[in-house]
Amino acid sequence: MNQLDRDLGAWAREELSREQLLAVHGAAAAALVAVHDRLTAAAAAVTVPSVEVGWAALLARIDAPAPVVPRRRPRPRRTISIAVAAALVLGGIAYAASRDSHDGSPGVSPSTTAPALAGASSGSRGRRSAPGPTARTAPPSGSDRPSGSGPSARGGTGTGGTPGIDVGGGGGSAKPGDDPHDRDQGTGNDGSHNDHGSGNNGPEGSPPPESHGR
Amino acid sequence: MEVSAFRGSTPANISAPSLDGKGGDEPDGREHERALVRRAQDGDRDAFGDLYRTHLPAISRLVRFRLGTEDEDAVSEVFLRAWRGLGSYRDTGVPFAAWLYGIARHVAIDLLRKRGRDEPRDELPERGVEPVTAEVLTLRGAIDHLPTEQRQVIELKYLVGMTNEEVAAAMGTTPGAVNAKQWRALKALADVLEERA
Repeated sequence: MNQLDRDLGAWAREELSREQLLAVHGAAAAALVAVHDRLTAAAAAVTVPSVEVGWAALLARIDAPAPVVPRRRPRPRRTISIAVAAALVLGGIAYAASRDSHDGSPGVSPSTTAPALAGASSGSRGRRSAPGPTARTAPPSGSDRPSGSGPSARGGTGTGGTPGIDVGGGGGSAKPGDDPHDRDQGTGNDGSHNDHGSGNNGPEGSPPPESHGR
Repeated sequence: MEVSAFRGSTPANISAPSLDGKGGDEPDGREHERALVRRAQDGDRDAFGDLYRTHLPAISRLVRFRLGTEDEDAVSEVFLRAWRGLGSYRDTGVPFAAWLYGIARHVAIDLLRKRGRDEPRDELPERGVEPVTAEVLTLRGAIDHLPTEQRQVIELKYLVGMTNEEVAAAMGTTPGAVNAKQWRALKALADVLEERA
């Protein structure tokens, strides 16, 4: 802060008269004092609106509900939602396709898929033919699980096997036309047709394949 | 040192610019205003009404200088935003008037944008306007040429009516520095006005 600043401050505080200030600093101080006077006069000349009228108008605005600006959902969030939905749809389609191809593949031969276990039926029957909800708890592939022998979660009682735990609510029954050696009979998967142990997809009375547990 | 945080105390004399450089704060007045602000934050409209009456002249001057015209809606908008923003106000010792000053500046900027005035600095007073308006426009054009800190010192001292201590608190500097900035700003203003004359 130089001497002019100090003296200007003293003048503003009325510790120094204008004449003294101008006498010491001359034109340099005169220009600043002139601008100071203009600013002071202009500020004082500004008309102030009526306080009570202005307050009443302000109160009306305060009481008015604030404008509601709809909030837009953030774009990244929307994108993520769409991506998740698309992933779910695609996953569902892929899962359904894999199930279809697994269940209904026409070229699957019991001879290649079923274990050659004596007394065990072919496991080529599909899950769609499972009679009750408990069948869904069975392993994904029925080929490795003998049916009709031993305790089975599958419903029905087979003629050649140990009665299973009939919790499936369904179940086939041995019919006169069935092959008596068909251990698959009565395991609950046959329904009303005689599949001769060849699974549920075969035509009525179709002969059992060679490998069918005889 | 730009004024960005605005906290409450009362300008000792808003209707007449205070240039004493000493302060002149009345402790009682400052405490009274703090109490009003706290009550207003609790939703007391009467308390906010007292704040409105106290600061209306300063905000009117400021808006008038910033916009160049009288605009009561703009003044009202300043206090409306203040009312709605009181919840976020924190008293850290910076004058409440400085907080209002910041709001007023933003309101003026918004209105100028709305009017399509992106750069009002080079505007010259229109012919045929009343003398007061012509003088205000002339001074405003010159003030807008100042560096930010000098402009703030001029506006806070001459328009809002704050003391050097209050301006120093608002800008985070010392009263002596404010005094020096004030005279430098006046020197710069004198030069600009001389160029434009």
